[in-house]
Amino acid sequence: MSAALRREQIEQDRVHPPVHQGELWAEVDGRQMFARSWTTPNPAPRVVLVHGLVVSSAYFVPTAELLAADHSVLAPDQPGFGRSDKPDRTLTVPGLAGALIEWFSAAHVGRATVVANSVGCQVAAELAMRRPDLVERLVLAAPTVEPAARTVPRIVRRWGQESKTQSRELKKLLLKDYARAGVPRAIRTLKQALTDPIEDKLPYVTVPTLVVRGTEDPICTQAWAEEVARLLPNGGLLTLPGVPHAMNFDAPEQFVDAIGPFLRPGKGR
Amino acid sequence: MAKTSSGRASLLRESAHSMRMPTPPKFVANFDSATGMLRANANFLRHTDFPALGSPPLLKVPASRANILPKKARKGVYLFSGWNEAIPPKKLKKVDPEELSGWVTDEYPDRQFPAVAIGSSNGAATHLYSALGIPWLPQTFLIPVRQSVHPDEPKEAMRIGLEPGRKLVERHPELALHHMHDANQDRIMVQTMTYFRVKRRRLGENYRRFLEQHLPPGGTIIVTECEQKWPVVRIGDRHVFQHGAVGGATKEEFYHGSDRVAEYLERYDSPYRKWDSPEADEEVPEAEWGFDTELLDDIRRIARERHYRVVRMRFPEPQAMSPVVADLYRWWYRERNIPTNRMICESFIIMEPYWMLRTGSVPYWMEFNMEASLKSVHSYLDKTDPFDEIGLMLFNHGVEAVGLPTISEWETVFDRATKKGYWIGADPKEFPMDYAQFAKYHTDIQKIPSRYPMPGPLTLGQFEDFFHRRSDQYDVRLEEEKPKLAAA
Repeated sequence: MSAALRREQIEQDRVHPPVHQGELWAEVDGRQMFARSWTTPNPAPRVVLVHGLVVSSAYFVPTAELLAADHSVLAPDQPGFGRSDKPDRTLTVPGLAGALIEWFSAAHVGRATVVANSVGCQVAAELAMRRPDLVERLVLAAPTVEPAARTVPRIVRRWGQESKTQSRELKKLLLKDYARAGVPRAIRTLKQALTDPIEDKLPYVTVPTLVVRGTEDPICTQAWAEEVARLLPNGGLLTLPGVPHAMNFDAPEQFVDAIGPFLRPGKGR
Repeated sequence: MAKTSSGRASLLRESAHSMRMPTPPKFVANFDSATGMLRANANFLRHTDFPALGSPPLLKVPASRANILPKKARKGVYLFSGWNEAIPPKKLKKVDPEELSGWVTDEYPDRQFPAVAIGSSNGAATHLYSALGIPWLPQTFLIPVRQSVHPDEPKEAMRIGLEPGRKLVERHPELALHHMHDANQDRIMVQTMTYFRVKRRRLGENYRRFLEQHLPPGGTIIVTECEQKWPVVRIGDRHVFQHGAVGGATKEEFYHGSDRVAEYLERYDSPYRKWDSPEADEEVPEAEWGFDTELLDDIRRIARERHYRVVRMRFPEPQAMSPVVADLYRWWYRERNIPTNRMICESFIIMEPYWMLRTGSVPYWMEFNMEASLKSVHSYLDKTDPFDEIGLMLFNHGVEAVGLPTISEWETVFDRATKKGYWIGADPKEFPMDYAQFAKYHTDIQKIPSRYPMPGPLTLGQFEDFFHRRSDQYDVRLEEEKPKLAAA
């Protein structure tokens, strides 16, 4: 390789460093927790992606790949889901947050920006309330569950509407993740999510928080997204036209573009 | 609140017991302060009353007929019921503190509460929880173990508890064990069973989960801390032996004897005239009522994590809470323009939170049926405006123990009423073997003719206001913990 070529390569690497995609296992509460990681040789701000109900970190891959250009990204599978070990009992939302807090220290995450989707927002809100020292900034994409929808029939109806917005790839992935977690666990976790009063916690979430809602989302309504942003002492709301509930999988470009300025506040666009 | 109708139908509905009663684990005593008060409060929160001390409804009928039996047979039935509740020592392996706390939390209705109390058993505080509409999670439970010993041989009683006790504390690092032996009040029971009282030093998964799901951030944890202490022999780090208990005989009498003790032992044909007690080395929280402050660590941690207030409610002995709660009810009735002229004295787990409020009666809780309880009622009546009516329900434990007042001494309470005093469900000539009382208190209290609508719960703010305005009158402290600043 000529010196000129090598210099060009170095320059390219500096601007777009090669991303290394790896796997990270950490022990939490006597069980192994799995995470996907995207790292670059250069120091980069850290982002942790928190998936929603029954799915796994696979659901966040399209977003993670885009964020990885200028972030070090970690996407854990919460206990009971994806490739992580299954606890004997289904964890509650605070229980999932507790596991995540332990995972932060077991995986030496330090302080990170947390990006969550759907029921993952409930876990992330609990995490940010309990440990503001661990959370730099928080993105709540399509937060759940609106009090008006907190019964099984109501949420199932909204879910049915939402499934019409899902891409074929997402449906395939959901099928796989549901099979892995098992239907009983899915139902129990859903019940836990429905009893979790996120609105009581939001006033205690003091870290800067961005609420994101897609206009094609039947689960998280505009009124509820506004309510969430209003309850947060340090929150704002972004509405993305034409974007569905699973924006991190089915509309990753719009999603990452929209949250980019919030993730790197000093940088501008 | 819907308008109240009178007549049989409403009576039936009001006494209807919830069909969905969770069953406690086999290893825990049903007939005890923690389980009794837990059920009284949980029933109240489920809008029902507290018949037959929370035992299955089928037992109520035979219990109410118990006095037909001659005294000797009655003692046998009482003894058998205790023996039947106790578990054989080898079943101690099956003790699972999480199963126990899972049962506790299942007793409560599935909804959000503005506050949750955790800590000592206390009958007066039980009425406070009912008034506030909040659940209480007990710290202490009784595990009765089937073992026989002469009641007047405390050293032998201690010895036979050593090995099973050691294994129990080894298996359960979250528990402290207080092996209690009271040959005075529990004379009948201690012949067949060893009283293992365990205190939780950790919240554990189920209590924690209950708080997470039922107490939203901003809610309050009330820590009920009875500071009653008792001399003990230390056996291990989390294992002590307590000779005697709060009630009739004093600490002095258990450890060194007295004329009263000698007389009592003679009356029961004991070969002893004093108890040969093992030497106590320290005073620790009393087995049944005292609060073990080790639990505070976990309470503070969850409060920090979930933004709860922590209010410590501390008092030197169980009955110190009673005047506070009696005055609170009186004040509350006055606020609601209800007459405040009736007081009902309750004893141990003979209590009725639901019917107190329905009949507009002021509850005065007594720890047991001994001298100290009688004294406590009189000293309360010395300080408060007189009541027109005073009702009395007494727990019966079958022993003419040291410090047990006679029926005529108990009836001095009635002289304090300006109009009338009466027994509720009691047959005073059978005292202290009036076991029918266990069923009849609940039906007799309903004979009080007055009925008031069930009020909505008091707010914690109202209670705190009430308390702080007159806190100098009570031997109770209500202190809010200053939250430590979280790392920002």
